[in-house]
Amino acid sequence: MHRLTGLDLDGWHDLAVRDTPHEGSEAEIDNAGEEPSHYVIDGGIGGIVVQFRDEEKKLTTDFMGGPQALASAIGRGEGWGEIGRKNRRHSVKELLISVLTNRQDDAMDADTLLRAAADALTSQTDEVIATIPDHSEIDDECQERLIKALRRRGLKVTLLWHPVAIVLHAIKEGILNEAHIDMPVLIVRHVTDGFHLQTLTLRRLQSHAGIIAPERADAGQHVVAQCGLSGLLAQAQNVLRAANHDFEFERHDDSRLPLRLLLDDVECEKVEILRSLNGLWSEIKPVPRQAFHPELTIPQLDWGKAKTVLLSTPLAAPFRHELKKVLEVASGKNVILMTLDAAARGAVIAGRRIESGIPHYLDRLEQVSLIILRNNEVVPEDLVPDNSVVAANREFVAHPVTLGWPARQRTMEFYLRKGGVFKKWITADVDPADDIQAVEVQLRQMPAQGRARVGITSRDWDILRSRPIHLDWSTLEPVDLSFEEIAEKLKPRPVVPERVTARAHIIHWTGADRLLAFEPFILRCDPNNSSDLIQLGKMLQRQWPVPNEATIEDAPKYITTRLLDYDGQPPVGVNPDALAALDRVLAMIGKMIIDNCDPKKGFSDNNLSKVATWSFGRCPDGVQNAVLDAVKSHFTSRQHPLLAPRASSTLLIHGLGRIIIDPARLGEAIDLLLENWTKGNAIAALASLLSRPVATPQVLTIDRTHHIAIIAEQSLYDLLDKASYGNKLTYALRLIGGLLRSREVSPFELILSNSTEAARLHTALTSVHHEIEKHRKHIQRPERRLELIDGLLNLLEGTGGNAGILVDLDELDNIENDNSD
Amino acid sequence: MTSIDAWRRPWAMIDGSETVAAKTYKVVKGTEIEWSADHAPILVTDAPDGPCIEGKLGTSEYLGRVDSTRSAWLLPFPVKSGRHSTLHIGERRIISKWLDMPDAPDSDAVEEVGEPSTGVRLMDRVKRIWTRLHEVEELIADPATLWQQLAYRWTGGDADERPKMDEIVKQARDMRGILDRLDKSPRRVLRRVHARLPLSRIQELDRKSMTWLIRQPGETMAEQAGNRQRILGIAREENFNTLENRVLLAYTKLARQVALDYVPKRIHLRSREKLVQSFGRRCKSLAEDLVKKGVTEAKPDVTPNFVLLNNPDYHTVWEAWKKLLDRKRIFDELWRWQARSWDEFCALAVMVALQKIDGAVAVATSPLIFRGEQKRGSWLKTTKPLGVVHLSAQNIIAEVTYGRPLRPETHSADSIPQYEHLLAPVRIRCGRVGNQKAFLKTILVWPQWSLRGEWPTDEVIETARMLKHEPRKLKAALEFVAGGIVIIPASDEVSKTARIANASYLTLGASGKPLQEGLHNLKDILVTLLEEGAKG
Repeated sequence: MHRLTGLDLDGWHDLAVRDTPHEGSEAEIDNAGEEPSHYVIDGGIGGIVVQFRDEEKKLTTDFMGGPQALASAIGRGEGWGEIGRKNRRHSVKELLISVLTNRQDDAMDADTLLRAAADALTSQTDEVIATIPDHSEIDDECQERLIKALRRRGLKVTLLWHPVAIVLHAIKEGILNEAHIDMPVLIVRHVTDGFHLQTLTLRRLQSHAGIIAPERADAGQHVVAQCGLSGLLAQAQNVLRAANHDFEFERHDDSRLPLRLLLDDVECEKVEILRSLNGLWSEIKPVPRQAFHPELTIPQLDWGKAKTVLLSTPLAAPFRHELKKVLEVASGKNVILMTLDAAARGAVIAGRRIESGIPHYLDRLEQVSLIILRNNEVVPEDLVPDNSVVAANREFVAHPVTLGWPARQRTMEFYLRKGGVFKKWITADVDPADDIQAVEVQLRQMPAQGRARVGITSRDWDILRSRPIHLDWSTLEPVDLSFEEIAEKLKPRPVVPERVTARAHIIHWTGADRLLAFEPFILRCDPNNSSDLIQLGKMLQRQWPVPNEATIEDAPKYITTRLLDYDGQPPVGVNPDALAALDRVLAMIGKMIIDNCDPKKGFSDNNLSKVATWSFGRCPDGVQNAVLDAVKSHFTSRQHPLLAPRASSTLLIHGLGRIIIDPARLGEAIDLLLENWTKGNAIAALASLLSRPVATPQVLTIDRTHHIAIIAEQSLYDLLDKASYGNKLTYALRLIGGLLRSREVSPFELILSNSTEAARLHTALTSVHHEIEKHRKHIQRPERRLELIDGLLNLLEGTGGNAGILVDLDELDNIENDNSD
Repeated sequence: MTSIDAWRRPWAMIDGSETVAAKTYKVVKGTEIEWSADHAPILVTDAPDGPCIEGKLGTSEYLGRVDSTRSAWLLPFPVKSGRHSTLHIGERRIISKWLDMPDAPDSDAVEEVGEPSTGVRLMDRVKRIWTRLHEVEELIADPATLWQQLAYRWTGGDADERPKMDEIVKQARDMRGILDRLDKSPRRVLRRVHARLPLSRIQELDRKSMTWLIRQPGETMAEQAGNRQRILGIAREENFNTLENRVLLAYTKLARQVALDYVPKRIHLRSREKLVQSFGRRCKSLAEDLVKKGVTEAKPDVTPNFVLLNNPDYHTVWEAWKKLLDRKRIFDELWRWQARSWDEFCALAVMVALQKIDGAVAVATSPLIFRGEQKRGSWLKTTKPLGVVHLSAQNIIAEVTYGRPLRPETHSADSIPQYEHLLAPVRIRCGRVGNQKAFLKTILVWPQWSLRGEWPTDEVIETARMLKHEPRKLKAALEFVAGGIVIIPASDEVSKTARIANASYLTLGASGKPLQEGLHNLKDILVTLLEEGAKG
């Protein structure tokens, strides 16, 4: 016969009940058919766990709980010598609190100690049904921790709510019967600091005729009261001290008389022998029970609708009857006093019910929902429906929720809602599939046995079918978001292209083989010397390949680097002196340019403006204004000193695309270029301005976006007319890519389905795509071009695409056009 | 040269008188020690690591320091006494011989005809002592009443001959379902054999069958198949003779044997014995089934295969088989360390007797944990003190300590704790409650292992004299010794007792009447000695 033990540990009076005789007993084991009798194992009052060293194996520590621990001298006091040291003794009460509240104490392993307490009462058994207090602080994690602490090899541990155990015993004893069906019953448990209250409703089981089971609607209530057991114990201690006023309590072991006075029915009036600190013996007289009148006052509470109250308390006989009376007066209800072993006996009944497949109680599970996107709407889908009452003897298996697992995605993010709190769940990595896969999310939960198990599996997708993903609750963090905010987050977002910036590399500064170092040069550079100026211009322009350190597959072996990036920032680790020198030189050049802009002076060559415009974002403000002015003059066919030298306009227009990074000038520059987009080089500069500065998305107003879209479309059609797909194509593509950066500000910008601009651009791009495919033989790098166009088409459709498209375009531009302007 | 003494009595050190010296100890001068079987083999040496038996250190039990340089060690008994063992003690090499020690009986399964031999009788005693110690494990399910139940069993005549939680009982309860399952569907393999099969049944032809086929006369297949229309092909035959089934057979046979041995030869059986009996029958029928299926028996030294290690049912069988095979080893160990087990049994007996005294209340009792595996004859984990009992009628407190001292890191003269050199494993300190001035006195208990369980009267006198007179020589040590009790195994069906001055002698049985009487006598002796001890 399966050996089953009901365990009721509370640290005040621990009890276990088994319905099979123990091994040493002579009782017949095989009397099948009869109602098995219950054997009560008394764990003693004020349970403790002691630790001691095995004499034979010096390094191992043994733990002992239960009556043997109470009887032992271990940890009683200094009078016993080494073995009496008080830190060898741990109270079960404290251990329970440590385990349930997860209060970690390095000095002791609460799990191991508590296990010893349970072991002492549950040896020679195959399954333990342990009671667990029922109030709102006991959540799924508490249950798991308690199960973990009690579990040992070859032993199954099942938890049972304490009030449920009490009610099961009451049903067995006939205290609760058919007359109470569908009626609420209040269970009051007397605990350390007050009372635990829980109301259960009796139900007739649909599946099993004639059997009644309680239904649990919600977590119980914890009421703190003066007359909690610890309060009463303090009173008993005071009474004992008063009665033995000449006894030296400090010089002796702790007396157990107060505990006995309060809780022990039998041995409360026995003389106690205590050992003094010097190892001798003394006697202490107990207080007669009649002389102790504990203060039992019960706070005013909402006692609910229940007519019947079951009271469970470890108090000794006179006091528990007193408590019953007090409770009757306070609640005005019929109070039934349950025996001490009621919970442990109820646990055995529950165990036998579980064994024979009869629900021992009905539990109401907490609603758990998964927030998912269904038909483009974010909806909560219930894994555990609200108000689901389930039989607690079986695992509750929820209806699976079917989802699509996106193609090429390693992990998925879910939001779970449990008890009104949202939690974010990022699944573990899996090998992604090439297509979208149907997966099922399913929840299983054994009521009151810890957290639910949530798994994702799939019928068709091998990887998940063979190795389903399981949810680890301990990794979930609550998210402080409303449902609307989560819904907003979950909606799929179109990809936003990243801006382009050059890579600045220290090698330009420190120099290398065949690469002149910039640092020594700039330190001695004199901008008045024209050869230095030319040299500086060259160095600012130059590009140098550096081995790529990225380890991604298919990454190019070399990457192109520059002295400064497009924002004008130097690489990390630059000598600050050199940087200061550069700034000084640039300032001097800026000053020279502004001075020379005086119509009386003028420029004889482009050297100064070359240096200024190739310093990217580092270009002095004054020069930026001057260049802007000059370009304006150029477009309006006016004179400007900067325009005097040969080929200066190309340099200045391209330069404009390089140097402007602040939002105010950016808007101005973009507007200027838009007005004159048909003029030479304007589109190139525009493309740079759209794809490079950080500030671009901020200045892309609706008007500008619209305007740019038209220009881009127009230039695409121009290309089609001319059948030329070189530089100009790249510029147009960069325009479109740059436009899409406006999604940084408003994420759903320029999507095919809701924007006419996007639709027109899409059409134009598709035509270009066809043309290139048709004439691919006459076109440079057709594959690369088609790929990039595809990428942009995807981005416009909003279904995906490559965020690095601008970088790719910029690279293509760099490769094909050495930018030697 | 390393000094070596062979001690017959643990108090040999203080018993320096010429007449007794020859009886209590012997200085080993040559290269041989001869042990007789009327005492536990105690070896005293100044070699710091103690004796090294057959090249192995740590095979003897440390008993304590007897003086500033020497320590005492308990040697194990040999399973075969004819075989001498070699001891290395310090730089000396000594041959250890046993004069009248019987051999441990070969197997507990062999039914003795006629008068049992000394060895069998001794083994019987050893097993009964073990059964008593084993009762702690049986009673642990209700720890609150452990001592009461133990006392009830020992004094109530309920003391069984065989342990109730013997391995075979456990297996009888746990293995039944598994054996039923395995009987229904033992694992089988399909073996490929060559056979003449009808043409329609041929599924596979291998090289050999093809060679056969082409040698047959005829042109078509039908012609080649001959008049019976059969050709050679591969047939698959069920075969049960796998390693796991061979182990299963070996297990059932062994379990049957052990079960037979467990069930006593009487008509009225207890439920546990019935369980074992029916389990034995089940094993027998399963063994017969397996033999019919052509399974052969496995040898005890087989290497387990995958099925034995990973199939839950077969793995359980494998583990159970190993445990039954280990019984032999357990009994050998029991035999080797019977002197130590006797100490432990006597310590429990003292506690039981003390608690039987009228008005006795246990103030504290040590946790008792039964070890799954013995440690040199020790089966119980305990702490010091083993128990403290308050005799309310006499107002005496008795504190029982059981256990040998821990081996110190260095051997120095000044730090020998009280009474350590007297090598008494059980010590009872007594005093009065509330009397803060009275010095606590000690009663020493020497469980004295002996083959025959006899005690020459003159030795009782010697012991009494030793306890009475010798303290003057060793004042510091014996000043507060209130008395000594020597407990030796009872050889016959009565418990004898003798007392001269404060030295008491007692024979105690491991079961039945000698146990009950012995405990009763022990109780009386304790009351007397405690009262005397608490007087001054």
